[in-house]
Amino acid sequence: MDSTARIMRAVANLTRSWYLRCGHWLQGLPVSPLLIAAVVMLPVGVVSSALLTPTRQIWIHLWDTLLPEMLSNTFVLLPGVGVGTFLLGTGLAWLMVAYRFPGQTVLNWLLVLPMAVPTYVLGFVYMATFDFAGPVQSILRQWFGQNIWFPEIRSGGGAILVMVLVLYPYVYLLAKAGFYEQSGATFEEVRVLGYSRAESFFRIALPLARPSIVAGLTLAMMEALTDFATVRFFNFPTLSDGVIRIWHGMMDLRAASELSGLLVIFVLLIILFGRSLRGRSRYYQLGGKVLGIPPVNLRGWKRWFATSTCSLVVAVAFALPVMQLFHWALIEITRTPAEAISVYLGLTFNSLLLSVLAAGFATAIAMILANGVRLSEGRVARTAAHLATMGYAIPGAVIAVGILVPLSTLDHTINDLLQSWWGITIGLIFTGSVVGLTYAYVVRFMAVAYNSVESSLEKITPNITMAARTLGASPWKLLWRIHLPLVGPGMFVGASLVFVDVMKELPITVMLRPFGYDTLAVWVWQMAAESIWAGASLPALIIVIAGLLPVILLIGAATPKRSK
Amino acid sequence: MAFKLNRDNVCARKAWSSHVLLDNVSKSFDKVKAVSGLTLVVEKGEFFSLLGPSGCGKTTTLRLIGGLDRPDEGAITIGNEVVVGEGVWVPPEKRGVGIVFQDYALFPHLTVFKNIAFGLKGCSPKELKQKVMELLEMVGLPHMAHKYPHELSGGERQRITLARSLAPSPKVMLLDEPFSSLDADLRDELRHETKWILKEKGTTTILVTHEQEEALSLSDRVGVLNNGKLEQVGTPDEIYHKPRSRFVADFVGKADFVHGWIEGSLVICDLGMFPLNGDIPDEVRDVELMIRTDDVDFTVEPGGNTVVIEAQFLGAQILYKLLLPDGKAIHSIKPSTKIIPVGSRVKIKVDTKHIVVFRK
Repeated sequence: MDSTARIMRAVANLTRSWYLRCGHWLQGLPVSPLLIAAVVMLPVGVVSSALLTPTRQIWIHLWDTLLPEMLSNTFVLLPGVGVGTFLLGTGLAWLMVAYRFPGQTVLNWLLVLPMAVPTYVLGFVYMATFDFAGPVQSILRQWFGQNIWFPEIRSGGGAILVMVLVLYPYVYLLAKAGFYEQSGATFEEVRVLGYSRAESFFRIALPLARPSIVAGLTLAMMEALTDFATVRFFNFPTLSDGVIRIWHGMMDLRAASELSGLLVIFVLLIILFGRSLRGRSRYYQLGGKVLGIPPVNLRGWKRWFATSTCSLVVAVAFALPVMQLFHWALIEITRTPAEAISVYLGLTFNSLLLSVLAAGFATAIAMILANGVRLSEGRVARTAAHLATMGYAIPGAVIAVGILVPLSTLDHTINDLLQSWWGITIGLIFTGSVVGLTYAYVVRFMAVAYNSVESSLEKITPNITMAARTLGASPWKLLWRIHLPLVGPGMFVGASLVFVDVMKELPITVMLRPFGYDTLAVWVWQMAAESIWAGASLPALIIVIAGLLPVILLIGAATPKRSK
Repeated sequence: MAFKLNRDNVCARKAWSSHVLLDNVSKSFDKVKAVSGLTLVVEKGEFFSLLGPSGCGKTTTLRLIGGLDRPDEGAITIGNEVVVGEGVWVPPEKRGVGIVFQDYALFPHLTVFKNIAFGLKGCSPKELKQKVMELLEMVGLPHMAHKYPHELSGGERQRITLARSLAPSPKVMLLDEPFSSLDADLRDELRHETKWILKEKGTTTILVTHEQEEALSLSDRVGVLNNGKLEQVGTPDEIYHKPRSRFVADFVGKADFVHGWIEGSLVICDLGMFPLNGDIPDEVRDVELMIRTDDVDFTVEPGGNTVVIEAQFLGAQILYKLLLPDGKAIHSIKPSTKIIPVGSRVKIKVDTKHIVVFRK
């Protein structure tokens, strides 16, 4: 707590001396990007500083209890998810790009759908299905007797399986883009030089697509790191779960923030892993240009094998689980009395409110940020934008702790002051309301909003702005007639992506929600934790349906048009 | 108030073409001088070109006039109004300049009609329609009003951009290499069309280009820029035949440079003796002579001391490379009606009228 106060005092001093000494400098500095970056980076700074000033007793206690298991589980989970999504994502992408088989066009986008399902939703459906009491094991016992062996679903393997099934589309989409962008000439050159198609894949296609694939892997592993609910369902606690357990179980903010610092180190490890694998070619892009590798028609059993493999993945990762959810939801609706349905309406309202708030703020701030970067066109502003969009890499639990620390200090300071001056208590303004939640969502999903806004802002070349000005447009006319119409669609896309992400988000919501404030995601988690599958199914279904929206947008953006 | 209304009502505005004056204007970017101490007058109604290699500061000059950048020093006057100078700054929207950019910068979300109408403030709907249609007629695209920019070809975009910037009857028209992204055929056509439209409207025009042919064929006067400084301002004829610096001689037109020396009122070089025209200080003896390829003529003579070593076919003309007795080479351009084979022995004749001497 001390260090936070110190940091805040230092920031205050710095700001004051700035204004006093070099107020005129401020004109030259990209003020808004720097300010936004500072506000967004604050949670990470808080957590990192906590790690840098460790408390001995906390770590001794952690080491004696949870830490070794959490560490080893995290060390198993990340490579497991990495290898799994790599094999599944890259393999499917290559199948799509390099071959022709029946049903390909439909399967091509069906394979992206699992992205719409949050890990914890697929997690509880799998648990319900394959657990000892679930239908699969029950039937097997009926057929083969009581002693039939079945792999334990509540294990690291189960957690990894579920995460791979949900997260492989990141790798699939990016690998496909990476394969599409390659020149067919290079590939054919290698074949002319005497290599088979399979050899050419390993020698040319895969290395060339490496930057894209690694980018996808990095995203998938970051998602795996932020998850706490799935690993808890599967009895495989990782660091994210640990942070939340410590906060909920012991209310020990200091221990939670020091453990969060450890999570930040894992984030850095993932980023380093990505950097070292990507090599020097760091850029990748979605959306295709020239279509390279000429696809080959698969023949005989191979074509049906390809079709059925893809269909199987869609079935186990999306179709069957969603059908199961529908089934439970129908049961739930028919047996729930009408007045109890209002619980779900309340949940939906809470979720919508948070999502709209976060989407609005994130998009507005992203717009200010992008504008600031554009106006100053400097290195400082670009770095600030990079920092401000770092949140997507930081696990939700870390952001939540990093926000809890300064905001609760602020809350208590305000209350203490008011108490000593006027003797009144106003309660927790920031931590006890949606303010903290919205702040955390904005930090986590700023990158999503920023990328959309920025890419549409790019359509406005400086010359367009200048042309409008020389034609006599006032700043307002410029904004309303030129800038907003051109950026509007991008802002809308950015806002809807944030909207859905917030709807699915769990760790931040669980940690920062005001007492008793339930959302769809929180409800799913609580019900599933109690093994009340039917109760969890309806909100889960709403989340999945909402999640389909960005997936459909993504399919549009990431599917290069095939030449006929 | 009346004045303000008048200023904002574009429809009531008659052509108010003005002269442009740059007084000792300088501009640096990150300590690199883009423009230094530039002084220039462009007359009312004149078609003026700023010619120079890339990075010479010509686009910066244009942006300073348009108000897209601020000069570090100096003042700029458009008509009777100082637009930038000691404590004065008129933003681009109040300067009454029109700009045509290289990439056109048409508003992608507006139709051609709305693009052109964008700058027409204070017009009634009827006036607006009439005015836009007039402009579309002028650029020869009356049927394009309801198309979007992405549906137009490169040449059509260029014409629409011109119409858009002419709509508010600007005092000065600034053209930033507007023809460089067009095909050669279309480029030629559009260059002259643009020139005649602007001439007819009497609009003062400043064109920035790195193509000498463009500058020479379109302009009333040309300013040659190098390293942010004006090397020479003059009519195309003056720039071509009386370059004032070695740089201008080199950059404009094709020329050879031959070593020579001064004897009294004569210049002597390997090609012969020529009368000295222009002033050269007395103490200078070693000089360089600029000889344009079109001032060198030759005839086939079996005993000639010069040999044709290369012939480059350019269509209507042929550019010959001739080897002089001292081992140096010189170029000559001749009509391609008669082709002289490589290897022929020839005798050179140089037209002395246009020979320019530079101190070495």
